[in-house]
Parts: sequence; C-alpha cells; structure tokens
Amino acid sequence: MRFLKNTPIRRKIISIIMIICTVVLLVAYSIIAYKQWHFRRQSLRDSLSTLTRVIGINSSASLAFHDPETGREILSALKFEEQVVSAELFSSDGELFASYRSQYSEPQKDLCWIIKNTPINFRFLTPDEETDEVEEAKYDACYLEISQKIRLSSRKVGSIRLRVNLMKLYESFIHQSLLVGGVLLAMLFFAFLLASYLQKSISRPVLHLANIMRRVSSYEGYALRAKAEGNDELGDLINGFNEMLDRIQQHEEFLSQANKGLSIAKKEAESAKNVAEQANQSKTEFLANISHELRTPMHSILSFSNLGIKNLDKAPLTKLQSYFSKIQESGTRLMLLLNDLLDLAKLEAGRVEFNFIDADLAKILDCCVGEREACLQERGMVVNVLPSECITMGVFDPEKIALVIVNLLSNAVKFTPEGKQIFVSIAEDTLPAGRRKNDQGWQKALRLVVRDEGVGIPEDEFESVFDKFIQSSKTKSGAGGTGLGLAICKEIIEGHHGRIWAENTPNGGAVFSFIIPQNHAKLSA
Amino acid sequence: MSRILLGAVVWFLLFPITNQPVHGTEFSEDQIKAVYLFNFAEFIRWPDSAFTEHPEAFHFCALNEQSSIIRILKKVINGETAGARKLVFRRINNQDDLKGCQLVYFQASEQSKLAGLLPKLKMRNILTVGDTEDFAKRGGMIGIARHNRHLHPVINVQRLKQAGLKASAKLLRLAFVVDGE
Repeated sequence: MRFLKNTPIRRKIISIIMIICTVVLLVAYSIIAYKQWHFRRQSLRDSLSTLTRVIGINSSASLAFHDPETGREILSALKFEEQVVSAELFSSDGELFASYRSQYSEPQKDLCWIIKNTPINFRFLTPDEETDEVEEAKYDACYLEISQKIRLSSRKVGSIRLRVNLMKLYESFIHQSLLVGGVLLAMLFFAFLLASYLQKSISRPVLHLANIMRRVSSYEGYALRAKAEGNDELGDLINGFNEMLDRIQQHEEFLSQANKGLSIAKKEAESAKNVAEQANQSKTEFLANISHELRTPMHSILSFSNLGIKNLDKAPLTKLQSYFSKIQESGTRLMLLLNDLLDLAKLEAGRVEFNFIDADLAKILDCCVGEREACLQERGMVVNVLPSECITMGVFDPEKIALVIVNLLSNAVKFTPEGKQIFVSIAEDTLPAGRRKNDQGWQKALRLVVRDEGVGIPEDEFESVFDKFIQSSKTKSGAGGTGLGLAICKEIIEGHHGRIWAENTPNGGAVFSFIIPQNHAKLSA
Repeated sequence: MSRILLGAVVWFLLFPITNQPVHGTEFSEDQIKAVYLFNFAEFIRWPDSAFTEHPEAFHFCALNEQSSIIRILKKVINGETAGARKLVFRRINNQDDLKGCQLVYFQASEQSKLAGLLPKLKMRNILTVGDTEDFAKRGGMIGIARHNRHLHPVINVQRLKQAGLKASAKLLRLAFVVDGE
C-alpha cells in the first residue's frame, strides 16, 4: 500500500473504495462468465442432443423400411434450425443412408482458424470429446458434432449425426459479456460518484482539523477551535485537540498574566528602587545639608568662642558682647535645627501625643503672626489676616497647629520677594466623616489658607514639597531651612485627620491650605 | 451389437446382390420384404387380447414355409423379440384356425386364398400382409408396392382399424395409404 501513502485523504478513501469495487466486480464477473460459458455450452449440447434424438426417433421407420427419401425429408426439417450445418443418417452397417446440408450455416473459415490457433488454451473451456453410452459429442473450434444410435426396441437400426455451428454460441456469449461488462463499468462509475460523496464523512472532519491546526501553528493564536461533527473517533480526536488548545490557551494566559505580574512587580521594584534611590539621594542631600547646617552654627560658636578666649584681655566689652550674641545666635539656630529634627523623628515614629483641647484657631493665628512680626517688618512685608466670618473654635492641639502656621508663614516669607503681601484666611469647610468608605456623612471643619505673592511652586512639586528632606527646586541654595518644615506640618495635620495641600494662584504665588476637623473627638475611628 | 452383426452377415454373406442398390450395399427384394415383415411387428400395435393363446410369443404365419421370403424371415426373427415377446414362425394351411397368429403373409400366388380366409379373420386381431401392390385394396391390409426400384408399404388403414390394430405414424409416413371397402 505504499503507493497510497502520500496521496491526500480524499483520494485515498476513494481509491480504496474503487480498488475494492473493481477487484470484487472483476472476480465476480470472471467467475460468472466462466460459469455462464459452461452453462451455455451445456445448454447447446443438451438441446442439440434432444434435437438429434427426436430426429432419430422419427427416422427409425425410414431406416427400418429402407426409405431414404423419407429419411431425407425428415432431416430437411433441420433447415429451420439455423445453427445446424449438416445431418446424416447411417444404416445399421454404418453406410450413409440420408443426409442434409445447410446452405447458410458455414462459419467463416478464418475465424475458426483464429480460434483454433489462439495461444490461450481453450481446452478447459471446451473439451475435445465427450462420450457416454447414449451419444458421442465432438468439439472443434467451430463445430459441435453429436452422434446417436437409433434403436427400435432394443435393436439398433442405424445412427444419426448432427453437426452444429458454434458461432452463435460464441457471439451470444461475447454479446452478453460485453453487455454485462458495460453495466459493470456503469456501476463502477456510479460507485465512484457514491464514494466521492460518502468519503466526506471521514475526510471532512480530518481536513477541518488539519486546517485549524495549520492556522493555529501559523500564529493565529490559540483562540481557534475545531468543530466536532459526530460522536465517533474523529469527534474524539477533535474534542481532544480542542481540550489541548484550551489547556495551551490557559497556560498562555497564565503565562502572560504571570508576565504582566512580573513586569508590574519589576516596575514596582524599579519604582521602589527609584524611590529608595531618591530617598537615599534625599537623605544624602539632607545629611549634607544638615551637616552643613549643623556645622555652620557650630563653626560660628567655636570660632567666636575662640576669638573671645583669645581676646579676653584686649577686646573691648562691646566686641565681647557681640561675640557672645553671635555665639548665642548660632547656638539658638543649632537648637532650633536639632529640635526640628527631633520633632520630626518623634512625629514619624508616632511617639508624639497630640493634645486635643478646645482652642481658637483665629487666636492662634494672631499669635503666630505676632511672633513673626519682627521678621516681616525687616523685609517690608505685611501679613494680611482676612477676617473670618465663622466660628473658629474647635478641638485641636494648639501648639502643634501653631507650629504649622508658623512654618507656613516662614515659607511664605522665604519665597516672597520684599514688599509683597501675604494673605491668611480662615473659613468653614467640610471633611468626610469616618474612615470607612460607606460613611456618607460630613463633618464640620476649619480651613486655613496662606497665600503669598511669590514665585510659586512648580506644578510637578505640589505633592513632593511635603516630602521629607525635599525642598522646592526654587529654593536658593543655602537659604536655610531643613526641608523638614512642610513634612512636619503634614504629619501634624494628618495626625488631626485633616488634609494639607499646596497650589498656585493665577498670579504665580503659592497657596498653602489645610483643613482640620472642628470636633476631633467626634470622629469615629 | 449382435443385431448389427446379424444384419451384416445376413445381408452380405447369405444373399448376393440383387437389383436394389440402396445405400451402397444392395439387398434383394426378398431380403427387404422379409425385413418389412420383421418391422411390421415393431411399428404396428396389437391389443393384448390378441395374445391370449400364447402370450409370450408373436406369431408370423404363412402358407408356404419354403418361400425365399419366409426362409429369410425365419433367419431374421431367430432369437429376436418384439417388445417382450419372442418372434416365432408358424406354418398354416387353409383349414387351420388362424387363432394364435398375429401376422399372416400371402405370397402373390396365394392371394386368391385370402377371400376364403376372410371369415376366419373377422373379429380377430390379425394383420394380413400381401406381396402385391393391390393387396391392400382387394381385401388385405398391407401390400408392398414397387416404384422406381424402391419398395413401399401400401396400407389400408381402415381395415387395420377394423381389426383392432394401430399403425405407428412413423410407418404411415412412408407408406401409401389407401381406402377400400
């Protein structure tokens, strides 16, 4: 079956069916033809035998009474049987008694010669001779000859011999064979049509599966599925294939999810790294800054101390005084810085206790402004406290809040050029009550806004200014400040469960706002 | 086989060629006539009642035992049978009762005797065969005619029927059939 190995499945199935049909039909045809041939031959022999017998019986009288004329007459009836070539009556001693010869029935000599001399051995088809007690039959390529004894009671009165042309036998056999052959060929053609139609039940699912497989492999993806048509093994194959694709698809999705997760994790790790680096950077900057900030006053203290010690005898009192005041200044500055650091550290560690008491925000504001008065005057700036139209009483930690306000004011001063104004106002506002998302309640809150006319904050730094150790990029280097101020403010405000943020005014100045709940105690935790 | 031999021997050796050249070998008229008689036993049917006297035999009867035909006939029927009955010859004379005869042969010269025997023949199943052509017209049943060197039986079927006999169609076919009173 190697020759079928590489043919497409449709042709394979059709070929198989056609080969089977052809072989079966050929074998059947051959067997039937063989049987038919023998049957026809025997039929001819039988009918000829009967004919001979009838003629013989009828001729018995003519033989017995030596009447050859009557014998001839009887034989001449054979002219109605076309196949009979000749007939002879013999008397009991073997002498020819009467004869008949047909005018029509001689077969073609050359045809007989061909049949006689064909290389195929026809002996198995036609025996040479068959003899029994009753008659003798001799076969030739073209003739069959039958001889019978004619008897009266038990005595032989003569014999009869009939000779018949076999052409008709051959002709009708060939004719029938061709007819049946034609019918079989038509049947084969019909079988071909039927096979072409019926092979689809096998080839269609297979080709469909192959097609889907090809498409899946050529990167159409794993979303394709083949359609199972029936409940047979092909259906099982297709279902198995689909299941496989399901699993592959699952794995693929899983992988891509994992991939996504990985890349997200990677990004997060990167950003965490960035943040860490940034934090590190900031920390380094901060440390650099801090050490600078610490060193400067320290330097000042030490140098002025040294100077004082050196010049204790020589220097006038006023100079000494100035030295001491310088020392004090630096020391104070150092103290402030250290306090800030400590405060922030404590705030971050959560080790600061807020002291929530009833207090007046407006009063605290006035206090803070008053504290900064001197500084403001120096720079020719004015703090414009807008009158508040609401109740400014609330529950909060006044010291911490004061710290925040002072910080905001300091920043405003720092970043506003001389001669400009700073506006501060207090107003009512609301904050969402409760930490749970479902709580739709609002609570009363107070909002304090500090607006300056300075350089403003770069937009991308609105959030980051509240970060620790971060200073605005617009800060002049060495302008002082630790970068911790706003961070401390944020910690404090958030400790009050409030909110603090920064914006810019349309004019360019910065606006710092914070909201704190008015009645802290009423918050649900 | 023995019959063929018998036939051959009889025809060839015992009797020389006569003026009847039929199928190469020539037989004499007497030979042929004898065979006719022999064959009439085959081709004509007698009822069983004809055989009550001697059921085992078929009797050929004639007046003159010594005629050449009868001599040939005796040789021909020797050992032969018709059906199951053996063939036997019996000489008769005028006074004889013809009981026990199935076939009676009249030579040409004896034909006159026929008239005398007719009453005895009545009501009996006896076939009368004569040597002449007009035998069948003149009271007999089968005569033998001679045309163009060929012999033919001449049969009066009516008389045959009256005697209770039946002739085979095969015989009738080659015989001349005549009517008579």
